[in-house]
Amino acid sequence: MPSQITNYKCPACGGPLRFAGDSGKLQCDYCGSSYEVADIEERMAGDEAKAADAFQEESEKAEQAGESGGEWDTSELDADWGADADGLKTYSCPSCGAELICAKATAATCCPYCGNNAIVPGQFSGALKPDYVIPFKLDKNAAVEALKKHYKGKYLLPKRFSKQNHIEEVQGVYVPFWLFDGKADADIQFHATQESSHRDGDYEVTTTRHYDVRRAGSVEFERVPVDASKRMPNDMMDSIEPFDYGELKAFSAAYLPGFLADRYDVSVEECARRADERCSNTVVEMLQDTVSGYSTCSMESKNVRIKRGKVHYALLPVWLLSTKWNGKNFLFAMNAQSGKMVGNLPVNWAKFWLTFAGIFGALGAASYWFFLT
Amino acid sequence: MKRFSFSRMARLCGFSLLLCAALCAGAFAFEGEYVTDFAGILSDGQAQALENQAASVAETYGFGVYIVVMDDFSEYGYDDAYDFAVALYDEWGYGFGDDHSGEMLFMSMNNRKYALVYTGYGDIAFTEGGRDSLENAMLSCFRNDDWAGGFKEYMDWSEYLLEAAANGEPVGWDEYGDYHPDDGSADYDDEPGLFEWAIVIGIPAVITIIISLLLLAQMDSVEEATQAKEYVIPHTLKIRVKSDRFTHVTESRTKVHDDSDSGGSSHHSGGGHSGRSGSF
Repeated sequence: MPSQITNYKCPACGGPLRFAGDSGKLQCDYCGSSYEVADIEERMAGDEAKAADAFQEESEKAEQAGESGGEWDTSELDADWGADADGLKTYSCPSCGAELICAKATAATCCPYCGNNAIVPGQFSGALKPDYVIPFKLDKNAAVEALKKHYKGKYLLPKRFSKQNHIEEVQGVYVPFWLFDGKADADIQFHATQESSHRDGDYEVTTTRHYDVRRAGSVEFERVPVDASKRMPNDMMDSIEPFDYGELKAFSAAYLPGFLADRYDVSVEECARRADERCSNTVVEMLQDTVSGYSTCSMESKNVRIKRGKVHYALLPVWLLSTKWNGKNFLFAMNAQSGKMVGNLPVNWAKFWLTFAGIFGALGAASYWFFLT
Repeated sequence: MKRFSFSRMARLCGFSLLLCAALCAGAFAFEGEYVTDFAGILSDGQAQALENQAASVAETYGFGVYIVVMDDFSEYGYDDAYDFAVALYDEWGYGFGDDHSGEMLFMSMNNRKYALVYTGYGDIAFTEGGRDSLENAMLSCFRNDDWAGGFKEYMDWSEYLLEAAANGEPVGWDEYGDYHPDDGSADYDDEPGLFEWAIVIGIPAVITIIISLLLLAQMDSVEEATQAKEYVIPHTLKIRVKSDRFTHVTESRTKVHDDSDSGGSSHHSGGGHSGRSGSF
């Protein structure tokens, strides 16, 4: 076991290794050495044997797995962190309750969700091990630049907000997601009409042909993401989608150094409702798109069934900035793979109403001059 | 002295012939002092009732309220119903007093055209607002071929508007200015009304609200996803049932209102008359 822990340290100088998103390698800040993740992983004693066993198990499960129907298939989720657990520690935030995992060598200074500086270190234990991880591709500088760009051109943004903003507190966080595989099947009844009109003397005659239209079909989904962190607003995580699953890697703790990883605290069952809803809406819309050539089309009834498939647990890379303004918390998030930045901004209401009055006054004067003089 | 012209002579002959034709038209035509129905769309009873009401109005207010109905005015060399009605009003010597105070509703049934002519005191007692009300009430019946109902509305509204004017408060004068019942004169008020102010305030308000909403929308970039299209496995959409079954057909008919229709009736003034014309 001890030999496995040393694999997270630099083979050259023994210093902690950090994952550098731009190069995709593990880097030592002490001696400057860099290593391929695969090379470092190969050094982990016993890892190959374990990986072979795990692969065997996974193949067997895959063969057994069909369309599961009623419940989501969580059989692939694994609580055994194995040797990885020894290289990890946790931080918990007494303010918002966040529980964060990071490599032992990573020192967290503040909570990425609420900005609280007094976070408490603890011993890593339990919880499911992620199946996949997408490594950070964009670094902190890219996040800071994206945030500045996000502020740019926002007329109603209070100037003091952007000036006083602590952008240096941008923190890289692996956000836990459940990825749902499944199939949605729908049977939909529409009422559609075709209208034509012609003139008959002083009358406009409109002829409407009515149709009963039915569509039934199915579509398959792969890895629909739903964030599994209570503190992370769902709409915010939805807004930074999509992630490129082509860069999805089997989870290794070797990707964690330098970043925090949030633990899931929303169960598969709780998140499944959102995945079901998204899949259901999608199959309905796709089937509705096949109804064409009508003047109007309204849905009369629908019956949607979700055939639930496998669920995967993944950590996806997000740069987060939490800041307070006038007693209100503002959270910004950037997809650390695509660079998409989102976050609602505060509004300078005094400026808003002054602008409103100015525009209304100017247009009102112009309108008075145009219509009444 | 009126100038002699060939066309005027021809039209005068036309009107004379019109009277002869009406007399020959038989049992359905009605010709009274105030109500003349050459087209025979009213029963004798209905026409007589209108005639009596018009006579009562004339006695009370010294003002003639006339109705003339015929098959087709265009047979007499006129293109416009209002011009024909004015010519008829003058030729038949309609109206009371030196200024020929009176009002005439003319209807041409074959081409469904109408004209309203106001003369003398009619220009003051029948304000634009009053004319609108009268016209709307009357045309709503005519559009449904309810002739007697439409003429009754015309008579009733005319009587009501004359009564209001006689009481010193012509209907709708508050929208135009001050009315002087002593001499029947009026001072027009050029101040903008509620409608004008609504436009002057409403248009800038709508534009300002749109701009403000666009500015506010810039501040929000977070939205919950309702779709999962990015996660659909390509080529897995399988359509099991695709049926489009025709069930029935429905038809609706809407009366088309063009510019000459009552909804947008033409307004006329000049030559001592004012009025409106259109289709019903």
